[in-house]
Amino acid sequence: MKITVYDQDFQEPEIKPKASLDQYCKLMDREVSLTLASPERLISRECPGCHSQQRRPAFDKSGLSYVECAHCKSVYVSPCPSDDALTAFYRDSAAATFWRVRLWEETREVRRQKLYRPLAEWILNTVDRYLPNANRAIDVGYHSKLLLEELMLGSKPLSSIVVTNAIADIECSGIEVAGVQICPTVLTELKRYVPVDIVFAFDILPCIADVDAVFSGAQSGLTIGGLLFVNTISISGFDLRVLWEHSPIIYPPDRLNLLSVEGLENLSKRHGFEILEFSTPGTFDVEIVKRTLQRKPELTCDRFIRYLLMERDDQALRKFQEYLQEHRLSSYVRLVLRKC
Amino acid sequence: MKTVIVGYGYMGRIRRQVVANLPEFKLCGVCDPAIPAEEIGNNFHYYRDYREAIENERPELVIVCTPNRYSPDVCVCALEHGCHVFCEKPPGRDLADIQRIITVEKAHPGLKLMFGFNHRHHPAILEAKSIVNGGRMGRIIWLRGVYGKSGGRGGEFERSWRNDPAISGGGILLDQGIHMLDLFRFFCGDFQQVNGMLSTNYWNIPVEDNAFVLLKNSYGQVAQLHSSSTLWKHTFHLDIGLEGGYLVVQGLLSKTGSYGRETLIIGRKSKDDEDAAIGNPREEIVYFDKDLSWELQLKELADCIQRNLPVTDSSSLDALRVIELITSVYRQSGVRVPEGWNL
Repeated sequence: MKITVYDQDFQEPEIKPKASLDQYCKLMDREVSLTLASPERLISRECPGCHSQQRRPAFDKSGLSYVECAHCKSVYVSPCPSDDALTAFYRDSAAATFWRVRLWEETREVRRQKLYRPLAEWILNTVDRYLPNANRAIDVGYHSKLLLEELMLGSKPLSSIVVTNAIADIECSGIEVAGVQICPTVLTELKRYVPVDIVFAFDILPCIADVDAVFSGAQSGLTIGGLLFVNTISISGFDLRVLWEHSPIIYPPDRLNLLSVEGLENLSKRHGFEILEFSTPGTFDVEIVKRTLQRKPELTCDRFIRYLLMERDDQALRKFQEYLQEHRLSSYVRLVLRKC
Repeated sequence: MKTVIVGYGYMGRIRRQVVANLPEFKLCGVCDPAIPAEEIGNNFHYYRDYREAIENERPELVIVCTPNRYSPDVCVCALEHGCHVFCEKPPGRDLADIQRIITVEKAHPGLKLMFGFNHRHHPAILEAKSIVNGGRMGRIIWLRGVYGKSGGRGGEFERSWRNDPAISGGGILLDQGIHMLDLFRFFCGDFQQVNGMLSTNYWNIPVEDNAFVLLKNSYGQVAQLHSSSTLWKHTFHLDIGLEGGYLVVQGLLSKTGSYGRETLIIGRKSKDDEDAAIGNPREEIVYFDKDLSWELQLKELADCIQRNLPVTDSSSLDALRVIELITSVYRQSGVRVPEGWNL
């Protein structure tokens, strides 16, 4: 298994400008409370990481309750909106539309350079390393447009990618990239597009009810030795563990599942995958905690952490962020799994 | 596959562990005249003489982990008895040794012969190689490698057989630098121009304690090696300069961990539409936590044997070429080499 660390010089507001992010979260909070959090439409569920039913309350957000798994320490919403309700939300809500039309567009080029180009380079290197003859991929994740362009417009692209996420027709509208096919469908209907050598599942794990569906769909659709690429947000990461319910990046339904490192390992192995890479190459943990403490000085926080973040210089903080990445303690997770 | 290990020092013990973990192999005998039988254990037969081990056990595979002086004799004996052979590097003391092994290999075309250039199978090297082969970062322009150790405690190091030219055939370049030269070939193929300089400027030994080698091939790729037993800190460092960026392999997963955590740094030259500072590119650092190089090499040999495939990795040709490079450096530096070598 390997771990990847990134040295990148950019800050979170470049991809999430504060004004736009605040507006998005406000819209989200209102709509979630009104449309998704009605108790009669929620379904109780077990831990998406380890399937344990033992849990304790963690905190509430926008009318939804987060619980902490007593076994693997993953944090997740339960009871939870159904995947149909979530798809409808991401298709039609004002918040989701604001994200696509405003926030995404105004940060498009920064995202391309700082997020999606490195992501595509990492994917292509990984494919070269483990499956150089890979031919066909499906993409079940969200926010694929820039990634598809970076993957398919460079030298030596993959030969074909079918984008199957349930709102792919909206998210990828207007995309004209050779080899890319847009076929929105639900996770349980992937069999029409398999077998494939690669499955991309970016930005989907935190915001669906049935996490197992991604892994079982990939397991049944991949050829032996095929690769599943996943990214997600983990509660094992520094910013989430320090800030907990005060974290500005925990908001439903974008963050319904905050699996721990142990929960993600359990999930991967339960579905018969070998973990080739488990990295936490996040770059924002320290910055997010520092900014939150500056905005809310009354928050309870460990004295050493407060001292480190408030009194030490940028170089120390950068090194600390690198340390978090190196030891899988950042909240942004990236996985490469191989079907055994 | 019935297997005998000849030579039960540091490498022989590593090979025994690896063989025990691979279902393709069944260890039936161990041979080492210098090790008491009690140290070997009861699970397989113990021999003091390798000929006796090979004749009695009739193994399919002989793993040769002896000091350099003895490796060719054991290899030749094993091949002549119809055994496949895995031999640790270096493949003897000098060019004549490897040429002798190859002559016998050619006389037994059905047998497989592989040498222990296991660094090719270290995870960071495999990752770097796949990036280079992928071609997205362009072709290699240059290579620069540093591989060295502290030498350890003075008296012990100076008395080691590795520094006795009658047994080892050379110093740090032949013992350890050979791995880096093999990696240069692994990445860039053969080098036609060889320049080298040796020095013995610290240890009281009759072989080199430092070697500096500069190579160039017909594609204009230049490779530079510093091989040393006076680095004081165990060091493995390989820089690969490419048209579209650079790769740095540093540290090496090893039994003791003394070479540091094995990492690969991937640096990419900024694209024209990026606003990154020139000369300070985005870097990706990959950490590896498991060295499977020993297992991968033996599995590959098993595959070649079982499917009757030619050995293309760490073959006798690889061994020959790298010994030719070392011999050329030794000759330039005035080390006595036998007459008749046309390098």
